[in-house]
Amino acid sequence: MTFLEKLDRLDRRIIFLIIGIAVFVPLLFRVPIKVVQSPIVQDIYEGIQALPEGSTIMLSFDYDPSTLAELQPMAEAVVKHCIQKKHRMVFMGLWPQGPKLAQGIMDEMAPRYNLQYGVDYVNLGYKTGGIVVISSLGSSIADPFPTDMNGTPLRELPIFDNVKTLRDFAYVVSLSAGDPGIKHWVMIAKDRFKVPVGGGVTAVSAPAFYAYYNSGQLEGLMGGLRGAAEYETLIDTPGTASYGMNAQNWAHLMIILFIIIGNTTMLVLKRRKEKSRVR
Amino acid sequence: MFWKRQFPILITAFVAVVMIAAYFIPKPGIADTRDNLQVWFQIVVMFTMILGLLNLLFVSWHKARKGRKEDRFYNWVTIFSLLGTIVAGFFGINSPAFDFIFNNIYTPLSATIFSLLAFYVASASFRAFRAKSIMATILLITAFIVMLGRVPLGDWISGWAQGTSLGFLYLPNITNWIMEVMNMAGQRAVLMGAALGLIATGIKIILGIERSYLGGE
Amino acid sequence: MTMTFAGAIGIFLAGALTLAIFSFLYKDNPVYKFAEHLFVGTSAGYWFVYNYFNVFKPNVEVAWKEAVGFWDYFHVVIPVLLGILMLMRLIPSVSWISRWAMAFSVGMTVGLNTITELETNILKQIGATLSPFASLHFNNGGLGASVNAIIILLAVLAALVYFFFSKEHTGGYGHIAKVGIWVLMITFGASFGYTVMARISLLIGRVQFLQTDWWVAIKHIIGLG
Repeated sequence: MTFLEKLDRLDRRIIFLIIGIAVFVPLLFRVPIKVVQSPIVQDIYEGIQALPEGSTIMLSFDYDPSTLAELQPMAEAVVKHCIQKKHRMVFMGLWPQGPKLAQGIMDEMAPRYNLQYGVDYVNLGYKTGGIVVISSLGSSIADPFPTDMNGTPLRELPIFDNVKTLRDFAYVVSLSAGDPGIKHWVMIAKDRFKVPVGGGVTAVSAPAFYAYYNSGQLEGLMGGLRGAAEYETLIDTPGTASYGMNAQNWAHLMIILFIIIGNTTMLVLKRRKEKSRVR
Repeated sequence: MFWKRQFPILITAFVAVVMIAAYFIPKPGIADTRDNLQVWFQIVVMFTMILGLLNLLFVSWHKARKGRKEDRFYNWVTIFSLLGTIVAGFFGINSPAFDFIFNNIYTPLSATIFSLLAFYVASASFRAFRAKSIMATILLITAFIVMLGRVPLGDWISGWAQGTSLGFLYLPNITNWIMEVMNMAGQRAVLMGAALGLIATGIKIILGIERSYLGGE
Repeated sequence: MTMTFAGAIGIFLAGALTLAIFSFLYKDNPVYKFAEHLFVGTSAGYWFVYNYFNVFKPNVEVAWKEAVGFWDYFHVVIPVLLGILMLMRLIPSVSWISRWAMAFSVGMTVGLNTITELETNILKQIGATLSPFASLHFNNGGLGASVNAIIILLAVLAALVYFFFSKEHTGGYGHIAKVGIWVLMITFGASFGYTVMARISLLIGRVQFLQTDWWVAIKHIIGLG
């Protein structure tokens, strides 16, 4: 077997090892990288920045731990930004794991920034039904959520004194890994109730949402770890996303090299076969 | 039989018509009916999830007792971890036991299982992503530009072009243009095509022409 | 946040389970299978617990306790009955009755989605494609946006032509469909690039956990930190 034929039949575990090293080694150096902003991320930052101080924002955690690496850094960055602007935050989730992930963030942030539950933030928890829940919020928040996540009736939470329906929110941020998610927030919150919607999605689904951004249905969008790193740069607080961009660099380079090597090997071997057939 | 086929179709049609009518007729009667139906829906969907859970339990129980010998142990693992999580949960969703399971068992397992895909994408990029036609080559070149433009490497290798008359060679700019113009146009077409299909299927369901959701017989 | 010993044990367990899943990359093995089945069980258990506390308790239990008058009770009893009908799917002799609950669910989603899909994914998208032409100008810095608007219109039309399979893709129509394929190839290339980015990001997350939290937990357990 020639070298190229061996390369063509390379054990995939060697490829796994190479990509593992390409990710592992750069992360050892823990170097945060400030990234160039794209307009689509800048717009969601500016949307939240432009809101009057103390606005009430709905943050919907529509993801589970399988996409933690991409969406949790975004969530932390947006929450930090809201805290900087003294916005009041109402958390909820269309996925059952979402509210618990939100709680994990607030368990750390609330004592650090002296935030009071019920006044500065509330976690409504999870409800089944996806788009139907959002539609229900349009009539009354208490319809789908008679209580918060801990069983406290909404009438006992001061944050809801002037917030009765979805229309009373200044902005909706949906951090979404799929269905139900940001698409449904656009359909109902933005298109029906005219509440601005922005958010973050996994990089897999980000390309599809550019159509909503172009039409103005989405105020802005963070796509994947890169989107999270851009937001961290904008709020000038490097986090896990900024530290991860170094590894992302090298991994992408490896993938491109793999594609080039794989295609080159295929072409050369194909030509050799054709030549030997002609002979 | 009426109760097995026609009655469910009537339920679907009635509920769908109420939801559509409520969208256009903001009168209290219709709006209240819609609001009540929406709350009912959340409870029904919850039972659908319980159905899935019970199904998993029954299948695992059956496999644990009568399945292949080498797999029985793992089905017991499924059953005991399911019941253990439920028991921990009933001490409260913020109890230490439930938090421990969520933070130290469920979250790392969920995150890691999906992270395996990174290795498979690398393997596929070496063995499977072949530019065998012009179309495939366009796809791969676009992917290269996007992959480089979305990491700092793209900024480093083309940063010299930024702010010059050759600014169009700045990779992040090219990537932004691809995403906001070409990709957006294609995605819009896909979105519209899919929406047309969904609407057509929805109308067929409301009219009772499409009945596959009811199952056989 | 300072780490307690119990917390360190928990994080150590999380790291061990992470490595158990990664062991599959070498080959399928009992440790991986154990971790995989553990995930299935805890996932299902978690869904049940959260559905009970976040849906059943407030929307059924508390609603029943606070019900006043016939209609309040009606609005609790009927959805619960529908839910029980859904569970009848597990009993083969009466599984047909679950169709009533299924029909209700399908009716709700179809009713809501039909109108919202029309508005969000068709009317608003058509509007966004055509509205730039109301103020098209090729000077004063508007050249880029105007050219982009024309490209977008042509690209969307070409891609939509490609998706219309009721007419054969021949002649002039075929040429437009071919342009549509080119547009879609660029779209899919962009999606592929983002998909690679997504998958790598998930791995980055796990490696960051192993390098920081897990390593700190190990040092804490063996008394080095």
